[in-house]
Amino acid sequence: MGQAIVGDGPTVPTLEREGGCGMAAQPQQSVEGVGDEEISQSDLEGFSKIHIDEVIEYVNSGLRAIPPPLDLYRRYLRQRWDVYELDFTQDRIDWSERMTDDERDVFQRVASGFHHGERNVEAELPTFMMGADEEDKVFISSHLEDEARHTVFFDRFFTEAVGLDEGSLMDVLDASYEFRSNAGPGVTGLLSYVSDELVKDPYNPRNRVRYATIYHLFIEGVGALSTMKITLGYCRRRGFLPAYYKGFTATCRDEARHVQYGMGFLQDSIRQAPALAEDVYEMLRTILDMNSANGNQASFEALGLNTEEVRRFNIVQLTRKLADVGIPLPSDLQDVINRMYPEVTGG
Amino acid sequence: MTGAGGAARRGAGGHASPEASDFLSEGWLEALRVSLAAWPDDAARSDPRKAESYWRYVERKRSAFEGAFALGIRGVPGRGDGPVYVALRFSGGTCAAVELVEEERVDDEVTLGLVCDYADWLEIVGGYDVGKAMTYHRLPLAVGTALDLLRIVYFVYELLGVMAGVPADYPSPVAA
Repeated sequence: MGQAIVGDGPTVPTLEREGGCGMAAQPQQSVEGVGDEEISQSDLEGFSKIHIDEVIEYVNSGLRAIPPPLDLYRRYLRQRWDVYELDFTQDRIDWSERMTDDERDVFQRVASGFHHGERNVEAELPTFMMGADEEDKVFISSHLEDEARHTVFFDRFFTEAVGLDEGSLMDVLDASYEFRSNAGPGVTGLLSYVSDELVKDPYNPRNRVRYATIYHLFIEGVGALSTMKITLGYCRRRGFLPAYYKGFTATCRDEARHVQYGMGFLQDSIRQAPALAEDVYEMLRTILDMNSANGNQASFEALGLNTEEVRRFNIVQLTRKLADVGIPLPSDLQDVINRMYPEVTGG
Repeated sequence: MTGAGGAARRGAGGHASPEASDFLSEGWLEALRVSLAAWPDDAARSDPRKAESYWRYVERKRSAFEGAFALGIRGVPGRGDGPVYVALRFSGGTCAAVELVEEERVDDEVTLGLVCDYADWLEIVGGYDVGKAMTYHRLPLAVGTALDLLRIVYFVYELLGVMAGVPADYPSPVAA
């Protein structure tokens, strides 16, 4: 464990960066110290040279000065990638011939949560757009397209690399659902209820802040980054699944815009009405209480990270996000955060 | 695929069996109460997706929940178009009563309520995953807030599974 200074926030522990390694059959050299600009400008092919830890830092560094929604929209237009450009031929070989049973088991379990998370956000995000300012609506429309593209990305991964039977998008979702390790709808599945409440009263600031807390702050800002770190760190270290690596790293860059927008929304909302901080706290208490049931996370060690490392990564990311929102952390919430189980989700 | 309860269940219009009562009858309500008193049984606890921490959560919520959870089912043949609510009253960590609540009384008598169509309920009884049904808006809230549900969500998930697992003779859906 090292120490990292997070913007103007607290000093928090962080995981050591994993050593770089190649991709696919021909390991490529790791590019150390890739800057934000290179990540921002990278095309799909270029992502094979970028380490996921750099992209996670890119997500967080962007929170120091959050661009307005239309600037994020312009960035989306520059960064949009074509999910159909990816070629999963080598991924299929890696999956069926080179990965171990344990690696496949953990990988598909982790990836399944993200597959469903992407679909669930694609379905539920329009409710958050309904009560948004017009500039925000433009950006959220791009966010929605990102989620649809990410859903297709996982559909292609599960059919073309993992080898699930092709069918409708729902057929593949149903098949990958079987890989999930926890009972119940999961935190992204429960967005349906938060969304239903928003539909009834779309301009209600408390509803909107609760939505942004469970989705932008927790699902994207905490759980999604864990999935990225686990699976992409594994791909890089072993040199496997090159199309997954490129597509999911590009996905991580997309998530940076989403997290930045969401943290900006929460900052602005609480600046205008400080009492809304209580809604952030209450939603987080509820989510973390749900998390207390998730003790059956099987080990991630087949992919190179142990459960405690993932758990600590979650804690770091959650602490960072709260600092980015600019609200103090109540002691009771800090205690709960310190006890949380690994949260591996996404969307 | 299994739902929260995971047991084999009888489909609509299935053949009668000695242990099955008519859906929503006094006998079925009593069978549900007995099932809840025995829950979670060994079969439920053997689900590999539910760790000890999961059951600790569920037990904590059951112990603290003072009120009624209800599931409303719309369009049950012979019972009109509106939902018929099956209310589970909890006090002191046990299910004190299982009863039907009329739609017009549900806001007064139920703490938290979900609702679904009869056809969707039959799918859940047939094994459709309760978590998926919750995700795909097939079990929306009828009483209470989203936060109310999230605070006890796995407890509710389990209750729905127990309810679906009680053998019943289901009337065949009326053709549209």
